[in-house]
Amino acid sequence: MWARIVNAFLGLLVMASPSILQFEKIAADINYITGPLIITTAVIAMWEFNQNVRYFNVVTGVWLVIAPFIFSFSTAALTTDLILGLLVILFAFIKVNVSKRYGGGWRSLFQDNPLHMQE
Amino acid sequence: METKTLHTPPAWDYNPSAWSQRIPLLIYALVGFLISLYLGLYQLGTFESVWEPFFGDGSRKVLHSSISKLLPVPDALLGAFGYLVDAVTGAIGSKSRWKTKPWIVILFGIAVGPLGLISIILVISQPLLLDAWCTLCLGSALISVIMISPALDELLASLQYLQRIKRKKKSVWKAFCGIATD
Repeated sequence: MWARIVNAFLGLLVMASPSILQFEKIAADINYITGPLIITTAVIAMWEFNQNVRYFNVVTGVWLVIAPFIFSFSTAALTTDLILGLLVILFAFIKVNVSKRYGGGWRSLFQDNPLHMQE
Repeated sequence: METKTLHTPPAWDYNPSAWSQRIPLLIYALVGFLISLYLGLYQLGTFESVWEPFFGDGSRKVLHSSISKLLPVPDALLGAFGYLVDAVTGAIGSKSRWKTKPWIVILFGIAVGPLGLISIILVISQPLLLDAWCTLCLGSALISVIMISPALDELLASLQYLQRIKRKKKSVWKAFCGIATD
């Protein structure tokens, strides 16, 4: 859970850094799109039965790492996004041990013998 | 503390349709509704100014932007309507509604999703297209994102129930509409 909170906060930094560090337009625009996506992903994944949504933040994190090179960001923007991107990826991999049963979860809908039909 | 009751779906450790689960969502929807109503009334000109503690002229720019005027109704009022739909579809039905009213659970799940999605799109467009931030708009977007997961557990329980109905070769449609088949 705390790893999701960290990623939500990192997403906020992604959104705020263009103003604070005066990014050029292309870097700012990319951050303005990616930041809210990181936060949304992290918040949805805060609930155990949806925790696998966290993996979408591997995609957003990787994007933050490679975009600076694709679009030739300034040093400030490149450094910021590289660090934030790597951190987002890292924390997206941290999982929680699921403490409750949800009938077998979303995957049960695709299983031959789901948990909720075993009782 | 959540405990199993007779209304708990099979192999679940709590009942996602319990009032203790649903009331927080109703509160979020109410707060979202009040914020959106306030912003919508500002857009209509009922208030001359809007509360903006951090971003100076930001709220005014965002709320009177061309995006906000795309549709015949000011967009904050559409947001208020969305929250109202969330509140109504979240409130209808008993604590076994995952089983007795899957249609309403699914409607609720559907209402929460697009509201969240549109909120995110609008959040992105604030700095991207309008070069401005609006505090209350961001607050309301956060509320709609927070509502997504808590609304989805009931949806999961209903879908699992419909899966059981289907496997028993009974009418999924009837079960969906809440006409008891078992």
